[in-house]
Amino acid sequence: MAIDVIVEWGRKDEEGEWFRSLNQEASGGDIGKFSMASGRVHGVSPGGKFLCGKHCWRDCTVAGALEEWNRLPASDRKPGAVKVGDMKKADRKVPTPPPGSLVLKVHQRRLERDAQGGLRRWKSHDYGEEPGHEYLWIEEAAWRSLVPASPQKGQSCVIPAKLAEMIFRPALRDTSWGGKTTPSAYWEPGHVRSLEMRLKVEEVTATHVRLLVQGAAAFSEEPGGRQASKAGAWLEAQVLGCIRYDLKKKVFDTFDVVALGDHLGYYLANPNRPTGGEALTVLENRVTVLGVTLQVAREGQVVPPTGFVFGE
Amino acid sequence: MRLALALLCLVQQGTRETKAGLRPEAGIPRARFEELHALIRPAPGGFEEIPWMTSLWEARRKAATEGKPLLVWSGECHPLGAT
Repeated sequence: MAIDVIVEWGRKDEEGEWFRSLNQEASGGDIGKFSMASGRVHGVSPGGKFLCGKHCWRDCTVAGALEEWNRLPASDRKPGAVKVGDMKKADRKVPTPPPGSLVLKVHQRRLERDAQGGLRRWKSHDYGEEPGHEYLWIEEAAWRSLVPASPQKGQSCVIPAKLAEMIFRPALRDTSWGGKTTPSAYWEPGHVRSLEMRLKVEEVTATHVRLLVQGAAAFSEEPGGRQASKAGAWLEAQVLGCIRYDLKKKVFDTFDVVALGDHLGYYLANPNRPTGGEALTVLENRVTVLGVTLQVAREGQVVPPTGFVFGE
Repeated sequence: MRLALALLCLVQQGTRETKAGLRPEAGIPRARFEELHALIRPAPGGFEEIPWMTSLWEARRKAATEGKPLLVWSGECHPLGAT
């Protein structure tokens, strides 16, 4: 399973208490064991024993954790040995999507041209080939407005501006440099220069309605976008996708959308590297290609969208 | 002269191609959708193919019921929402 240690350490409920007790068991009470475990996988027994043993946080491995698990008394490891009931009351400050929300998973990737003029994954930076990851929570009343009341093949309409902005303004960014806190243009409402998305009913069956999503977006920090006289991040993207509504379950079971366009964004520069100084966020001096996909997220995964600050 | 200029503008508008290889008036060709979708998304075989649970309490309960350890991927922002 996957957790944000800041949320787990601070939450005021039984889950938070158990998480803090894990750290106490391991290292004497501070957040140390997990706070320095960023990006690592650690073994924990359901009874609350940290399964790193001789493996300190730096070297904790899945194989090592399983070795430690197998060294526990058989009575501690058998199914049902530890009873875990319902959590009485979850901390309300821990975010969960409102009931009925459509949860979308977003991927954001820089692309570049290859020698033949085709697009390929960008290989020119230090973060490997993993795209940026984001989640969007679209409240029920909002996403339901995408479903035509009496769908007929060929029907077409414009997605209301507010809904289009709800979906595309947070999605059409580049967090592939390392997550929500590292350089990326973050579009404010005033940065939306144009945003038009259209829906067209392509197919209606007894069980589903399939809709085509098509449109374009232009966002920029400075008026004028790529023609602005003052430098700032901008994006010009086209959007194409297929969304499918299940008439029996009354949900979108498919929300496959691609956005592609030219982007001037930010990156981390570190002219102070030799002296160990801090990296700087700078506006790039070249336009890149940004690709973004949206799809229905895996059911049950609760990951807050960008901008969430625990405790507020 | 005016007609020539108008025609020139029309031709230029119709042929401008972005760095992304798109002609703005045409949109993303449908024939490219699957290719672009696969190019942008994570490569197969990565961490997203694992059905990660995100509730530590529910994961603990499942592990206790099944007699298994928890494997906890931790980060100072959520690992599933960061690169």
